[in-house]
Amino acid sequence: MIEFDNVTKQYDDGTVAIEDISFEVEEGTTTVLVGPSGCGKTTTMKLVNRLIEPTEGTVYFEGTDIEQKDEIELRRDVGYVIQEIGLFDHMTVRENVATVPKLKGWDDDRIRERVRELLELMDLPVEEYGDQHPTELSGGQRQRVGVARALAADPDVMLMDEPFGALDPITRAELQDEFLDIQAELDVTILFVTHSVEEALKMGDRIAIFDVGELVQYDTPQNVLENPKNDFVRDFIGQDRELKKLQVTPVRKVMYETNGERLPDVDPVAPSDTAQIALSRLLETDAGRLPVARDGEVVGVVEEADLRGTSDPTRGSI
Amino acid sequence: MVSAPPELALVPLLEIALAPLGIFEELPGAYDFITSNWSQFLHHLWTHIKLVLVSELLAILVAVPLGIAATRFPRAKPTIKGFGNTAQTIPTLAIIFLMLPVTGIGFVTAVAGLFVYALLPILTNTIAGIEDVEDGVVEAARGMGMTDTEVLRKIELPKAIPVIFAGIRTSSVIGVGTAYLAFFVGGGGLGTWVLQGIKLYNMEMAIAGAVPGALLAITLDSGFALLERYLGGDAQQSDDLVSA
Amino acid sequence: MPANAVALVGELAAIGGPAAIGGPAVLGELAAVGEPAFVVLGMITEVFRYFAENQTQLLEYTRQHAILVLRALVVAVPLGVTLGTLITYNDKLATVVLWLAGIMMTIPSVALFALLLPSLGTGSPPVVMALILYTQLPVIRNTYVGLTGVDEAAVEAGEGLGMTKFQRLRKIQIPMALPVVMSGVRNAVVLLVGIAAIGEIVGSGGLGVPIFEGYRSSNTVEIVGATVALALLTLTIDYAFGVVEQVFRLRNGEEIQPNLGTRAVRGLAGAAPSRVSGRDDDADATTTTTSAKP
Repeated sequence: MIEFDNVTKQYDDGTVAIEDISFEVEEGTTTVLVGPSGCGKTTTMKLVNRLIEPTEGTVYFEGTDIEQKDEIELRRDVGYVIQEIGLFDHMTVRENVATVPKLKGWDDDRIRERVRELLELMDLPVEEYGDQHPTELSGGQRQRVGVARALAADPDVMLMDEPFGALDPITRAELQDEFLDIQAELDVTILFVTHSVEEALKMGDRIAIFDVGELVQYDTPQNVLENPKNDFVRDFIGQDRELKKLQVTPVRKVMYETNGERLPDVDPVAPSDTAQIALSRLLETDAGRLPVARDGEVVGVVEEADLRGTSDPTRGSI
Repeated sequence: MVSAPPELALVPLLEIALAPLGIFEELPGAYDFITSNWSQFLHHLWTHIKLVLVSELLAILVAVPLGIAATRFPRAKPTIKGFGNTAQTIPTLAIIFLMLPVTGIGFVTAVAGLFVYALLPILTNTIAGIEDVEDGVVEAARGMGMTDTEVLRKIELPKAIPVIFAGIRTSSVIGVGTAYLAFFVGGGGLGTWVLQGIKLYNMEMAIAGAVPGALLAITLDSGFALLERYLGGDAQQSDDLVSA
Repeated sequence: MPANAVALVGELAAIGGPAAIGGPAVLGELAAVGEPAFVVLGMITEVFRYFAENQTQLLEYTRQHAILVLRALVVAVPLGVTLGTLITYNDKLATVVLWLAGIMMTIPSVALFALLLPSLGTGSPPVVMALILYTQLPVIRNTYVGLTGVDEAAVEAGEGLGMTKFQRLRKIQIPMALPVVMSGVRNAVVLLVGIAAIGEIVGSGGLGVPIFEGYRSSNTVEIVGATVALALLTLTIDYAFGVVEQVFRLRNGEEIQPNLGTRAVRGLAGAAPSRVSGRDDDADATTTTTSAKP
């Protein structure tokens, strides 16, 4: 969908932001660009909507060199969310969300319908919030409007630059979860920038880890955790690599099917819960093993040993 | 008053653009006028400066303590501020004319009029300067055991000084302008030449009085700006330096 | 002219004099004794009488005065806004233009009228010209501050969403800057009304006429009456421009406590002011209000 082909960006003052970067973002996935500040991740993202032009190399969008596209048209086809949100405080929530459809010249009915739909999706019903100004909203609500605005013209690609970075931890977790749900509903390719490994592991189908100016590893979260390419990646992930692995592994991947054995009488976990939650429950209960239940029906068992090792493919998953 | 008045027609653009250039034709004549009336010029200039200096010193002596008082006694603040704002809407011209019956003709009346108008900028800036000190700083000072007087003397006043200074700067530059009106109450100064020059349509005379006063105001403003920067203010120009 | 002043002093040696002529006899007598409270009371009565007797004339002077200011604004505001917008594209130019406008501001009004006399003659032209020049600093600076002070994230978001440079200026920067520009114009107007009164020294007309007339004829009541009229004009214009500024702010979704005039205007326009919640209405960090500025 988006392909970076030997891209280098050198700024006018001589700093090389990224050097010879090549990777491909697959359609319908969320790719997270992660790394310390100044590593070039934001620069890389801004190449896609041509807020920054590459010094060398080419960026392809659906096979076309983006230099061939009109930059204004391109930006209207690509959703854009930034950490500072950048809502237009002088416009209402409704007008903010309608920005790009209006620029694209949609007719009024279609815009109205789209705004209603999106605000509904963001849990900000249009009757209540449509005529408010952004200044009247909380930080979390503001960023929901920001996301709605970026999604308004039904873009195929969304660029998100640390979208939840300025929120408090609880709101951030909430929005992350909601966004994962929304993303499952929409068929949209996302390029997501963050400096937080935890967020990258949680949000990404693929993770691109940047060191200063270079792309070090581009892989799935599991592979990044299991096979960090070098010391930089290992350090960047941190010493709690095993814990993080638990965080990105769902229970369903480590449980085995029950064969009617007697299970300890403790609260079950769900197959979609993380292995981290299962471990925590195990530590709490001292039971040694936990039932896994979906909609109140026991579907499997998970043991401490399962959490410790990598998943055993012979046990299979449900 | 409802129908559009004919006077609203624009002054022709060309005239507007070229107007200030007319001054330059008159400058040589004005220069000759000054040199041939040198001692008189020095006298007017010195009187002008004295008017500003004396009224400004008096205004500082009154306005700074009054401003401090306003921040110490919150109940008096609206009164003091309201008085200041009302005074602002009264033109200097009226203040000076109205001082006449009270203090009679001469230098004193002029100084009194200038003094009244010089108060406000210093007063408002003193209040703003002290109030703008962050609450956290004041609280920290209290927490260290400073008394109210110590907080004022060691924290609030030092922090407010650049702001107060900006008020003094505004006030003095306005003063240079207002001092032109001193002529009307027999206070002398550069206004003598300007206003008589206008009256007699003697352009050399009028400009001989106007240019030095303008230069005086600009110099004073720039001088204060430098001093302010030295004191740590941001040395921005005020919106209302012109005497009104 | 000093001769006039001498005459005036003589006339006013007994301050109660004018009051005794027009006011209620008792008040007048008490004022003549010099009891300050009665002097003030007598003066108020006198001023009211002056208003009643010179209604038509005073209205005419007020109209002339307002027109002087309006003529200046019609040229000065578009000019200042244009300059203020242009200098946002060049920092060096901004420094120079703001510095020049600042210099202009420090030139005393009496001196500036005199300097414009040779080329523009007497009457209203030199005064209108001076007023135009004095309007430049507040308008240019507030336009500049307003445009550059717009939330950078909003501008960046606008760019990222595919707005052209012109669309960003028109849809984001200008609407957000308008209240700030308006408050600059408002500051300027208050200043202009006062300066225009001095304009009478070159024969501009307006409320300076009765003030000087009062001075020449040693008529304190006339000076006070004209001054009151001038103050009322200032307050009215200030209020009117304040309403315009507030309407812009409310439209931008700022939380302010609208004054009566603003509520009336919005009521007529059919807008719902219900969601506006209170805060200090004059608080505006980006503009420099009357000299209370660090």
